[in-house]
Amino acid sequence: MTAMPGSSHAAGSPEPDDERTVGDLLLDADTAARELLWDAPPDTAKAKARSWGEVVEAAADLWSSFPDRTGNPSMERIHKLTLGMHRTQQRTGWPGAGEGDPRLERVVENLSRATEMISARRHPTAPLSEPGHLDSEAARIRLMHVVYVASHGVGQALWQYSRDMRRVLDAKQRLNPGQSADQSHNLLVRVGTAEQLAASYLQGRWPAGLTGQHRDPVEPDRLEQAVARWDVQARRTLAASPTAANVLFTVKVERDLTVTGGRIVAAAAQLGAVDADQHAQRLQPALGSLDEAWARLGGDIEQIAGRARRVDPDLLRSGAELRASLREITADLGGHAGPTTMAERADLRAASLEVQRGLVAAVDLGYVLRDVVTDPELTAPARGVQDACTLLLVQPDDAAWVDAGDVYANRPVALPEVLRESLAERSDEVVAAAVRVDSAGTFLGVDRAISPAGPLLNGRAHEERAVSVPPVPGPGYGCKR
Amino acid sequence: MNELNAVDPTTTWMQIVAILTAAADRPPTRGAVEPDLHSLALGAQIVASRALALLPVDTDGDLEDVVLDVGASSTVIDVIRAAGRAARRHPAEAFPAGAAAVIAELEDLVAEAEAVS
Repeated sequence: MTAMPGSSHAAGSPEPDDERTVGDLLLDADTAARELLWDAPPDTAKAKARSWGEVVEAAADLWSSFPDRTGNPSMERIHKLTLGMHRTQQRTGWPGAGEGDPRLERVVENLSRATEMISARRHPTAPLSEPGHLDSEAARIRLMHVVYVASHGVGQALWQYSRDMRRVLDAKQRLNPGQSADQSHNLLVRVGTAEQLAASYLQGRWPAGLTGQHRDPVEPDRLEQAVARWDVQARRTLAASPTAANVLFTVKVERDLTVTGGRIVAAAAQLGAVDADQHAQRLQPALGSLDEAWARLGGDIEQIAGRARRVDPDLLRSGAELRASLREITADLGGHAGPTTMAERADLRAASLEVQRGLVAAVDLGYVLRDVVTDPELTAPARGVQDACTLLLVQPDDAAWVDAGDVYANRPVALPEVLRESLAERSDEVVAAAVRVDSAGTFLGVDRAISPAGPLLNGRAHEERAVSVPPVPGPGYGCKR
Repeated sequence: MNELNAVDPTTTWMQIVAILTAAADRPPTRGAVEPDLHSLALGAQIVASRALALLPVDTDGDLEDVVLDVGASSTVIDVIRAAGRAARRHPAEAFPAGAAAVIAELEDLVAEAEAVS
């Protein structure tokens, strides 16, 4: 259903170049509705009030075009409520004739086109296969989410408009022609009711019910590129800008690769795509140790870094892409993907190899991190350093670890030597655990030539090393491909 | 629907950064955790850093003084939800320039959190 293509594939298509599927159109409608929340000034309230009815009309049309096993009446109730609102608007003359809201018009356009595409291909009473039913349910949930978010956006604008009108009335005892505090308030209440109806439908369904939506397989080389880009970018950033925030972010992403990547390898082992015994006996315990080692190092640096974690934008982008490329395999639209779902979406043997390739690089990265955290020039906010010393170390007898004036102003200070030594031990634990993962994962077939487990470079050596990195990919957060 | 807030948008934005940073550091990082929760925590760090980038550097010190209305026993999911609620206290244009894109990312993160709750 949601994979149904547009354009030349659909009869009667008004836009021959539009290749979007029904799923794409629903997603774009959802995005347009969410954009309403960004921008709700009161002067847009009338335009939104005019367009609101069309949104519900288009949503109801699309809803009824899907074959439906459940007969849920939620959309019908919202539609009837909106028809009543429309009659009231005609009777009272508010908001009156005029322009509609461009974002809501985009929603209407997307929903109407989706209805045309489905109606051209399917009869609403046609029987559905089980996957088709799940896809149809996912589409209904997405559609109701559009109504829910749009009603909230319209309500926000109406609330602000109604409040402003009330203030004008209180001050001047009158309003200009075309303005109304009462009608806008009445509409606000009814839009709020529609929002509540949509919310009650979504309760327990959003986003879990999206699980059944058809999704295209992941691009085979996305994870490979994300792992490679992250590896290069982490070294580049730690060489150019070795701050506590960048170190902490690197540790967090590496730990995610260990934990979430470990899920991919475990799924591959469970389904027999890789050696299950080798995984259970050697790799899984080694991954657990590496997770613990990253967690200990990260926990200590969290204290030091404080809240103001200004991460290098390139590092942030490549870390976000690595997380997204892992989640594209391990997360379904409605949450946790099981091994079978993962296998339907990606070649788990190839993905396991890429995960292991990234984990092997942690050996070298551990040395880089060790060099950064033991550098006497590394500074961090005084309060964070003080907190870390208090938590991790015994207070010195003769003086405080950090000057009280620096703590008060939270100035950047160098890390006391004992703290650097403690962090160096944590980094050593990471290196040792990563070496065990490297050894335990040889059965996956990682090319040892690309492993840095040969001659180890220390962190400073990387500063001198020229690295080339392909252009950083576009999407930043989430699985938006 | 929104209510008038005593807290100004910039302070609210700083609260969002602080709340997401708290989410990023949960669950306590020692010991095994649910893989999904760890991924959420990293997501919170990504959005927190993007949100922080919209604030001038001279607010960094003030960020440490932001008081959080988040219980010590709250899960990473609870804390992410709290950040989502905070973002709805003001329209996006009242927040620092560029906030709309960060709010969209925060909403995606909230949806991810709901999916594993």
